[in-house]
Amino acid sequence: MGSEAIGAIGLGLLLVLMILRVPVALTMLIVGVVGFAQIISWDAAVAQLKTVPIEVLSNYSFSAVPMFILMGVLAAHSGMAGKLFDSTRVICGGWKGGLAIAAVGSCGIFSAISGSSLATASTMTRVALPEMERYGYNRGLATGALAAGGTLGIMIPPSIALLIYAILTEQSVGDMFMAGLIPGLLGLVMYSLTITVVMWLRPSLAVAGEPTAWKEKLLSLTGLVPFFGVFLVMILGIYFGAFTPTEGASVGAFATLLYALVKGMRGAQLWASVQETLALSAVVFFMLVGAETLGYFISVSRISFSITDVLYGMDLTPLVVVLCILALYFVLGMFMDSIAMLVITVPVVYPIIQAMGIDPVWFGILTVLTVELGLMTPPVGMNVFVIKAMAPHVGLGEIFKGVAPFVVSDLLRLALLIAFPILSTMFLL
Amino acid sequence: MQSSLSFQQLLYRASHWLALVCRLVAGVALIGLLAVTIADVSTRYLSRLTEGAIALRVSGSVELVSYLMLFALLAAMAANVEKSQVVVEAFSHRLPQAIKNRIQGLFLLGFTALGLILFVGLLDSAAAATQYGEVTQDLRLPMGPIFQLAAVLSLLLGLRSFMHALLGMIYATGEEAPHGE
Repeated sequence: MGSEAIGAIGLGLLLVLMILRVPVALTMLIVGVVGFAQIISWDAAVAQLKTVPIEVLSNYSFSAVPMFILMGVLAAHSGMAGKLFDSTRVICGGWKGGLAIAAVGSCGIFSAISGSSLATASTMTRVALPEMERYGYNRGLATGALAAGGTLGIMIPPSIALLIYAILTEQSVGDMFMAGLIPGLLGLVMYSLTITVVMWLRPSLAVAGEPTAWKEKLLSLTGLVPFFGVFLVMILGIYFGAFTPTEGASVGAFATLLYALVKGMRGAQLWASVQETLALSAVVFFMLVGAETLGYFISVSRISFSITDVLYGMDLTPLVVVLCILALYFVLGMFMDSIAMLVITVPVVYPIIQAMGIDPVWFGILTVLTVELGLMTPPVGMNVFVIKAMAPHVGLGEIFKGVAPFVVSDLLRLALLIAFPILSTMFLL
Repeated sequence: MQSSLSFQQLLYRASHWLALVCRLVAGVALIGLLAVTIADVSTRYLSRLTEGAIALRVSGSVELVSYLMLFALLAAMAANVEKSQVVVEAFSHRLPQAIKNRIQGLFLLGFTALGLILFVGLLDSAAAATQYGEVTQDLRLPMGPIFQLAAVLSLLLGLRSFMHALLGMIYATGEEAPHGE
């Protein structure tokens, strides 16, 4: 049997094992090792299994992942999130639907120092949902805004998803972060517009909060200072070459740690934050170990080149290929975790993208945005599940209904980013 | 029934204590990783600011970070293996939790195998490194003990996976945490 055929069988087996509820990391390990053994030899496959995980776990570039996670965890536990929502609430809480806009805004700003969508959604739900419920906001609107706002964490730099994409495809991490800035901010603006449109169509869903004076609004901006401080130190340091993006993650984590210490976080709480960081990192690294093992198999099977040949034979334009891949991501996103989806598909898809001459940075942004959509779409919308876990009194159906307008908004944003690639590439280093 | 219950408790306790050791190693290594990077960045910045007058430098920081990360992550994976697995819930939403736990237990055997294979591989590397006096590139640290510590952590990954595999398969107990990014 040819290596391409073994590659195709491997990809089929990957899907079957995942449907059978085999953990994603183990699925990739099994398919990677067995497939490699079929093409090369069992000795080589076992030798590879002995070395690849160690290479991944000691890869210097990956050290940014636990540091970005630590930064988000410390920000969540140090009271930064509460102060942030207080600020945005004072600024726009007086408008009709303003608390939902404040929640989305807080999510966007929180994302600037947290690379994780789930961390953003859970932290901001804890802070913002009780306030929206106190003002009698429709639960669907409130939770929908939080689920959507939480997804901004995956795009606004620093983003763990963009970092992993950059490492897997050997792109510059700095480039990927800068490319995610405008699409992320565009998402923030479009979610706010979506809330405005929803309020215009169905004014009964929320009421206006207490109006605040301009002086009060200006004073409230102080709550945003720690976020912008950490974000600017990190991004400007990376941009002007004071440190590498990998080091930038540690600098950001250290700055957040200093803030947490100043705000009174001490021993047990700090240790708990470290342990939470390690637990979350373990989830990501189990999958990265699996992905790297699978990647070797995909590489030796040359399945990606076969797919590229087929696509060339079909005479498809690069844009159509991109649309087909994004459609596939959209469907997969309904069932799969975002990082899992990235690490499984990128080794297969990326050589096709390269062969077709498509800009890998632009494609990375489109990929991450489509993956982001998967965090909100049923049946497996992880952000929706996180909010459901934090607000058990709100029905799952109610949250999915509330999220629907934001899914439409994201599809519109995706269309804009496809039509105008410059939105992703204008700040490239 | 009594002996079965005590075996379950024994597994839990052993797993709990091993997890504590792993968390300690992982936590210390993670803090060390952060400290090394910050020391490196700040001394470099200080050197640039003073135009080389203060030329304190952390040598071998990339190497240190790499090995500290290896220890932190291997230990974290060992400490959290039973609750770190992402599964696709496409068609298994309605399965009773006990069956899900038994299936999860079965699949944890895969990580037992991974831990043991890594353990054997790292022990081989440690023996070779000791025999030939291998050292790291920048700091000239002996590679043998580095591989040995990584081997112990891999063994702990295998052991804890096996304990939770037994707990899942025999007693249908488990952790359900399909979380990710």
